[in-house]
Amino acid sequence: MNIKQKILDTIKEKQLTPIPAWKFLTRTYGLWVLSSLLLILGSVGVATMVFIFTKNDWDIYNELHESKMIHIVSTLPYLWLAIFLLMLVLLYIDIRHTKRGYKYTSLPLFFAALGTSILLGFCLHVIGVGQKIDTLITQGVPGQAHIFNPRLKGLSHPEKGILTGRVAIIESMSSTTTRVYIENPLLEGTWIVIVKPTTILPPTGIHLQDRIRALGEEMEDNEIEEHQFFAQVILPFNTLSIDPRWKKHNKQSSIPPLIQMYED
Amino acid sequence: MKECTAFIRITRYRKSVYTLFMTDYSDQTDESLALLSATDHDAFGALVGRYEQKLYRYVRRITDVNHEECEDILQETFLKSYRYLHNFDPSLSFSSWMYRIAHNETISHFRKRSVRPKIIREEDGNTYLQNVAADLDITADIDRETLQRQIQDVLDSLGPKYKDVLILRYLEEKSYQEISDILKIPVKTVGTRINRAKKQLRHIIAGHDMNIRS
Repeated sequence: MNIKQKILDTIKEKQLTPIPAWKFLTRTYGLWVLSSLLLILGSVGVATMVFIFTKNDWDIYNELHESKMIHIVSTLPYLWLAIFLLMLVLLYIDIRHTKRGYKYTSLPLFFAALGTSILLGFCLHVIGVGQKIDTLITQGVPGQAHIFNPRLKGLSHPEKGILTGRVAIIESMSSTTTRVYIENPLLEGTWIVIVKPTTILPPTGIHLQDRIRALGEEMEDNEIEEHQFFAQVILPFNTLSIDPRWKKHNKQSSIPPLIQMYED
Repeated sequence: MKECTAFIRITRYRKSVYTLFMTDYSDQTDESLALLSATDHDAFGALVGRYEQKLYRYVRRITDVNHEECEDILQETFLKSYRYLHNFDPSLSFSSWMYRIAHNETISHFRKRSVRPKIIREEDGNTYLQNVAADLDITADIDRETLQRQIQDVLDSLGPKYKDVLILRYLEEKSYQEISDILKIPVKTVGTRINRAKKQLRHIIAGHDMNIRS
């Protein structure tokens, strides 16, 4: 019996039928949907990284680290970088497995995926997606937010003269002293920022629920339970320009703008 | 709507005509036979007839299987192509698609053995070497025994990925595009692999003081 007859007989005996076209179409479109999803996830990673990078304490980096390079290396959002690279590799593999993916050579395909992810990432950053994601993580998992944004940890070293947190209570103690209670899930206990008339404040003042950065020094006082931090400069949480005004302010003797007082 | 109904009628009519009266598919292209095969076993039978010998030779060229094993691989190849008929991409040639399935089936058959011994069979040896020589534009006589053996050694030492490409190019006489579609690698990679193999061959031939025009 020749092979042709054998095959036709097998088809009849086993009642074989071609696999329905929809199954192949599902796979084909499924791969493209997955590609789009991976591209979007990678781009969200880029957008968040760009946002974090632009807000990376460029105004006070010399207060935090010895050089700009050390500052960059210490505060790079490595988790986002890893997520982005993972998405990029998966995207590359996924495109390779599409029906005509084999036609593209490795390097151009990889760079096309990389370029598209970065371009889309910048577009998402421009429309505020990066900031939104960063805020969602900070609010959703405050205890773990520093894993996504290492800057939060870098700013939580009162022993090194830098403190960050969200303003919870503003308490006027006297005409010269204001106590600002802040929340920082990375630090143990309650932290109070002491504001004196010499403290340089943000131009818009300090409000409840604001996130602030304070430069100064930790105060040793065994009589009270709370930790106290004397602030020489208070800055908004969002990084100012590279040449911020507060540095010039330091040389001036004028009284800084009044903070808005809130009674508890 | 009218056009759509007319199209369905024509399609049904054509199918019934083919099924009832047309047992001779010689004027049909492979691609149109492939479309008919989903509903017409004879059309598929015609395709099997067209590719039986070609794929038998190909499988024997890329492996050292005996006749029975080769038939098993072929049977699996055709049954798989039947099951996957709806996955055939009409932008490819049907021939490339069939060769691809045959190649993959051969690989998976030999995966069980973990190695895929490959030899250039004696009966193919001359064609292979003559085609390689023609491509290299060698003007001198290629039949010298020592040189032939050395070329053979180089071809054997090239590794499976190079050999797959060379067999398709010089024995199956496929174009770069077809090889790309069969092996699912970029056309550029096909060119690179062929050029690397040719470079090594040129090196050997140069050692024999032969005249290479290009």
